[in-house]
Amino acid sequence: MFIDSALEMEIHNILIISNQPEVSDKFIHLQEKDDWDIHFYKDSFSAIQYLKNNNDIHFIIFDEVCGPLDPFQLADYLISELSLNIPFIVVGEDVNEHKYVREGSLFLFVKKPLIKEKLAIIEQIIEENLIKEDNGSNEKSYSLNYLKTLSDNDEEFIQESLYVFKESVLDKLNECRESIKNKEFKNVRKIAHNIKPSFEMLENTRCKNICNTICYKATETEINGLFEILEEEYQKIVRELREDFPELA
Amino acid sequence: MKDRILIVEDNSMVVKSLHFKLTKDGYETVVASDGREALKVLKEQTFHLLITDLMLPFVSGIELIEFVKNNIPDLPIIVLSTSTQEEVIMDAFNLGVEDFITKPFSPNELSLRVRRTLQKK
Repeated sequence: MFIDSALEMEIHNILIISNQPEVSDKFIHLQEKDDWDIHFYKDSFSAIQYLKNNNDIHFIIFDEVCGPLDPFQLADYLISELSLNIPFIVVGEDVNEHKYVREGSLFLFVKKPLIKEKLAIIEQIIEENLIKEDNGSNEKSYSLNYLKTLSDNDEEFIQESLYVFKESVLDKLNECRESIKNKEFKNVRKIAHNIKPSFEMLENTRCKNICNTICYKATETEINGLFEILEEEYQKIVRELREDFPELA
Repeated sequence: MKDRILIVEDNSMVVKSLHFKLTKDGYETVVASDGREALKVLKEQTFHLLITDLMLPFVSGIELIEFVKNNIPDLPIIVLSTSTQEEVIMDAFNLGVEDFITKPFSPNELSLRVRRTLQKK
């Protein structure tokens, strides 16, 4: 029975990128967890080499002093070149502690020194994310995390931004429909590029990916179908927003 | 006197966020929603930093950067880009832009890059 459960147990790979032994040493104890495999690298390039051959990494802990790529540059590279969207924990001397989602990737910033309590929080965050990943997500079509982080929970700013989202994306989708009708596909691609960040700011990865595909990959015959899916997704987001914020209606 | 930043961007949500964050950081911002409007504003007013998208209506971001480098060489430029625009970003760097930020930007990253660019002046 134990063998069966061990065989079924999914191993979660965590990558630690740090050239400071005093930082790496803080994470050695994570190896004691049965379902966690910890890999240590001293710079982002050697981590990339590893990731090129092993794409089942679940978390990256990045020491800010490590180069040559900074955590954002590494995350961008992983998304654009290896299609890997991996959550990051960035530890550094000069960081403001906060959680932030960028391009669908979670970034958690933790200020050094890595005292026991902070290590416990890091461990908890990783565990929560792994559980979420294992269970699959059944969440809303949008999230306010980005807008909340950006504005320090400024409700007025958030409401105004949601209104801008609703109105500006609708205008662009209408423009897009006209362009498709007139077979102006270059303009359709431009519009998709323009509205992509709006979906990203509400953390809707599906719409972001559709916009990307329309922009760079879709053939002219595929564009109409993708546009219809995008429009449906937009309607779904707006429906949920109206439920949560009746004043937007 | 507050440092003045010209934001050239045609996505209203991105503009709103940039304006909010930069104003909160103590800067004065002016917004142009296309390249043509940006050129007009640049000819009439003085700025300490230009933050611009690359894909703009009427006058492209690259054309705008060329104009600045030829006519207002002391004005530093930060490019707003998406991670899929590698080639265009390289073109922008070849023209001498100081830095780039990926949309949607991290609030802390924006503050840091703007501060660093303005300090380098």
